[in-house]
Amino acid sequence: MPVNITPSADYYENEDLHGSYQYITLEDIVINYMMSTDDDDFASNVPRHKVLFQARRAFRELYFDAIQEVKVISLELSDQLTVTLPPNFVNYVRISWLGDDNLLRPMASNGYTNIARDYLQGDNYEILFDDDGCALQDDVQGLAELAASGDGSMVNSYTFCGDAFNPNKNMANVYSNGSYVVDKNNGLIKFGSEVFGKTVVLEYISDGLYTGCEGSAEVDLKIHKFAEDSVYNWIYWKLIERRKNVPANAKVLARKDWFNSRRICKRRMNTIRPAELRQVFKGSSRWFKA
Amino acid sequence: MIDTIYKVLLTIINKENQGYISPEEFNLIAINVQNEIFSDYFKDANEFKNLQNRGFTNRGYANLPLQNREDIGAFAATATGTVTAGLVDLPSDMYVIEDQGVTTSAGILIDEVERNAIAVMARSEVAPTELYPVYEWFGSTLKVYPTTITSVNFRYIRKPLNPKWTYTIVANKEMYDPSNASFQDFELDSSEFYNIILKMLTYFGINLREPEVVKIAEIMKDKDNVKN
Repeated sequence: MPVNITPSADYYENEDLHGSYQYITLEDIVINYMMSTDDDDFASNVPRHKVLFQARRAFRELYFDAIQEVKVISLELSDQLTVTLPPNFVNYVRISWLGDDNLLRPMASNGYTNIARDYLQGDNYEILFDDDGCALQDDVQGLAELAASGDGSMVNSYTFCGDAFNPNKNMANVYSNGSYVVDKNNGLIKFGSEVFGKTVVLEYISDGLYTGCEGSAEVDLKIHKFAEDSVYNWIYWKLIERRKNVPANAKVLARKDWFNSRRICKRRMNTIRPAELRQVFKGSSRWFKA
Repeated sequence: MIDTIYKVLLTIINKENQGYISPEEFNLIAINVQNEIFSDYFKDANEFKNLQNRGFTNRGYANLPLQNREDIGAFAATATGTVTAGLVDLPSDMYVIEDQGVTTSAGILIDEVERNAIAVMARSEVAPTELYPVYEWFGSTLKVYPTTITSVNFRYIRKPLNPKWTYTIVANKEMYDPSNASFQDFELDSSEFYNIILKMLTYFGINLREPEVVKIAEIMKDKDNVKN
């Protein structure tokens, strides 16, 4: 899109425009990149879909590493003590549950719990199969009663023994708020029964490319302007990376440009403001009573 | 320009009563020569761009790529096409589509994709959408993806119109008559006058079986090439 400054009156009236100036859209990035290539550019004559593909990859890389725009949703826990991951979920930042006092209790990831599949077996311990030749598995439905028992156990999950000699003391305090396991393959977060009936709050990151109901329309996919240069550098590097007629030093320089621009992007995104820094230092010398 | 060229040719060839060119013969050869010079513009475009990329061109009158763009730009045209079931007919007078010269009615670029790339691309994360549409060549049409696009705009270079020296018979002699409805002058720039004469001389020399005419024309062309 050409640079089109919206009159301030329109800007304040249209909520969709609020804060939009900090961002540049994916479409603009693709167009700008194609417009800026020269005939003697190593990456000239590249069709738009290849530029688009690399631009999307750059979005992912930067949203994971540098942008870190955290999304938050709150969900009521099912009787199965599970929460389905949001459709644009890539990784979580923090999972908490909401207390009656409206305060969030951060929960701990329980790395000691394994999510098991329970195959059905016959009298002679042979695995049972259905008509399609697939192994029959235990039906996890109907285990709500077990979950509701409040003994902290997770449905279809087991804990390794032997912790007596290696107690997980680091997690001891955090476990008081309960624990969870992220079952990536099934797209679920499984919780311990301490939080039965609670509302859980999931903070997570996405890749900035989701176009479903929870995301943006394709035309509105955007990234912060601090990351714009990094996206261009990624696109250029990736477009020349595997070309035979590009000298190796040009590829190395392009790679360095990308990493350097990503570093600058990260630094800009984590702006250090003097006033905030002073605020932190003031608090550092304060004495706490245990 | 066409009348002057015809007269110059007649003057050169008839100087020693070595032959005569009828208007019909002239018109046929004129079409051929114009097309030949026109198609050379596109070969020159690549050559001049290469020179430019190596830093061998200059500004102003010495800017060969600019002059070449002017020559080609004289034939620039636009058109609108209706897409039916994903197919759109090319403009009938089209010679070549401009690079990035196909857009939707909303002005969004429809990018050209090699035919062998469509199948994989359609199943990739950059499959064509209304925001990023593509087309492939399909006979005398373009196949546009996605098929929800209903109208496209073309920016293209048209074919030059066929030159035609028209006349009326007065006292058993062909007299130049540009008021005839079928009259068409050369569409090339007047700076191509010399080139047209040389090329036509070559063709007529061959037609008249006059080796000397051919030889002279070829020598003149060679001299011209050496200068360039």
